[in-house]
Amino acid sequence: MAGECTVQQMKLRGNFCHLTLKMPLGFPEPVPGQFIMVSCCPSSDGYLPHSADSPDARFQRFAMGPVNERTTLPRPMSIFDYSRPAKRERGLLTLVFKTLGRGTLQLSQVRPGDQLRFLGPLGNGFDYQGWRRTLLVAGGVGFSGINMIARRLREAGNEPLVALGVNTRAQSPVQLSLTEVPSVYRWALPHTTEPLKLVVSHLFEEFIPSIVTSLYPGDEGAFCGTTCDLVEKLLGANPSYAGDLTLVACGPRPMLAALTAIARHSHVKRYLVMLEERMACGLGTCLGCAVQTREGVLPFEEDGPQEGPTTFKRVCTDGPIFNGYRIIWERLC
Amino acid sequence: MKSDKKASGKAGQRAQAKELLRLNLGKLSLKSPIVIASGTFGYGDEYLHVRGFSFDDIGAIALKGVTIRPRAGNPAPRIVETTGGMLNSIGLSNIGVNALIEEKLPMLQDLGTHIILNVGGDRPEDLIDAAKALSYYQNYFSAIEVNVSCPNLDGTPIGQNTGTTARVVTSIRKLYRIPLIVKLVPNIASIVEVAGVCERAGADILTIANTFPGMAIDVFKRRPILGNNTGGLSGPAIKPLALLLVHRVYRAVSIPIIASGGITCARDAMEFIIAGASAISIGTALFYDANVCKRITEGLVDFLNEDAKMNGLEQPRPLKDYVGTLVLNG
Repeated sequence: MAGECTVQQMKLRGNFCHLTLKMPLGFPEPVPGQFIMVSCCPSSDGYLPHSADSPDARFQRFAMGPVNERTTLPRPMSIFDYSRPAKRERGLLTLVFKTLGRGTLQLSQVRPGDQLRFLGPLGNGFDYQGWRRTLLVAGGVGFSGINMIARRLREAGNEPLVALGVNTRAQSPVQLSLTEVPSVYRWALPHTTEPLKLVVSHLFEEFIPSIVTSLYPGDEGAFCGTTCDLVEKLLGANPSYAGDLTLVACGPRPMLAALTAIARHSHVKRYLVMLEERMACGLGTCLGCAVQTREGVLPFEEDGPQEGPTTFKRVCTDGPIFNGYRIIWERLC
Repeated sequence: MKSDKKASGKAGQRAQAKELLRLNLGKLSLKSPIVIASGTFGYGDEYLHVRGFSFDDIGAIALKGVTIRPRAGNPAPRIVETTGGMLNSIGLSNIGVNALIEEKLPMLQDLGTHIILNVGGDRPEDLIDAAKALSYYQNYFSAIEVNVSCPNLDGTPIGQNTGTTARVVTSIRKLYRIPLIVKLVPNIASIVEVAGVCERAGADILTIANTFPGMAIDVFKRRPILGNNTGGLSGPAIKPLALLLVHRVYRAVSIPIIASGGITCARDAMEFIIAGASAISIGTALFYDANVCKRITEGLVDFLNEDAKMNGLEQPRPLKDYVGTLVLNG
């Protein structure tokens, strides 16, 4: 669907922006894993100056010309959450993104009531029917691709383990606070040698449980290390879990590439990655978001082929979810 | 609330207003001056599924360029936004002529508008071969557009060389009864010269022009952002450049022109039409706003009415009366 939506709420947390959008009537309910393209409408005048020392202000000084001009292209965004509307009501869609450049900066400066142009939902969502044990790994703002599938899995009674990697707990895309270890996560924990503390992340009133990994040893409640260290530890402690495990990852490409090696080594049955790429159309026509993949085997085989014919796939319409074993990471990182 | 009677009157007015936009592009009669630029619309079927998208405002669609064999295209990243535009280095990634014939031909009729075949290739022979392979199916198309100007292939584009361009156009002319469009290179010493060569070689229409070659650099990595290092610049940034090219070519040739370069609104479209374009191409703007064609159509009708009012005319003049009406200063 192509149209305009209304900004309901905008919250900044560091340089992460939480944007809640009121979608028009008839907006199709997105499947977890899908995305939308958004851009500021010419009619929107929501351009508030940022405080002088924010990262955005630094970006502005460095990269913005004298004209605070609008972007040419919309920005593809993972759907962080979507609340199903009551009949004749409009659905609320939440985006969580990091302000990195001109487009995201503009989108982080909108005000409630502003209109945004959108196209979506786009791409293929997760087909999570046959999943059993599920480990969802998010690197930083990659969490916005993971949150919705985590919630839907939980609604379906399949409690996933969610690992969120941040540099420090303070730099998380969502607010985090300490809590008890829910018993449903015991499957991941019994044989681990190091004590793992779990935290619960809060976004407004809602929460998604997760293990948080932090690079800083002093971060209370967080696992010290990267998400890859954590996954390696979990799989090392419970080798039998890999057999029926679904591992889903979204985040920086070096993280996804490293997880591929770990998943392959541990014989993880199903390893899915959610990819991001620069996009123009979002509909499969411009071919701008192509990534190189390996051909030749059925999806979800334990060991992906190391060699063989390659092909380009479009992140927008062939993805954004891919069998992680098929992606040629050397070309992407 | 408006009464039904009033509403249907308005619909009638709107239909009448749209008639103002009908124009001729050589032998083609277009219901709207908007031609969708090749490479921004796939093979058309993708947009059939976009709710809210209307094909009513589109005069013609130029299909994604095809080459004799399928092409994988260039390494990622393939696009990057730049100030007022975007660079692309897709590299003519396409399904090839055989897949076009087998998979896409049957559904083209469903799109309800003129379909323009677009062919490309690294070397002149590849281009002629692609055109040859498709010539048997030419009745499926309203015109053929020959792309001699892709900036993302090996070597310099064919269109940089007037002799080669003439040879390609002459060869393809012999194969096709339907109108032949040549999409020219913008960055050339004299676009007027190559335009004249195309006209003499039998081209019916010119598309002016393709993207301008450009580059963007990641300052931290000190590497080009695009996987292929360079790309073609499109979007509002190139509009004044393309406008001047259209103006120059219009004064030099007598065949109609499709203007292509950064058109995002009705005002942009009017500038090109006044400069001499018989139709306008929409590409990058479609990415920004999927409903851009509807906006431009409405804007053009508004302009025609407004202009008539300002000149004390009872009826607005049709859009085609504005083509090439530019008056130079001094």
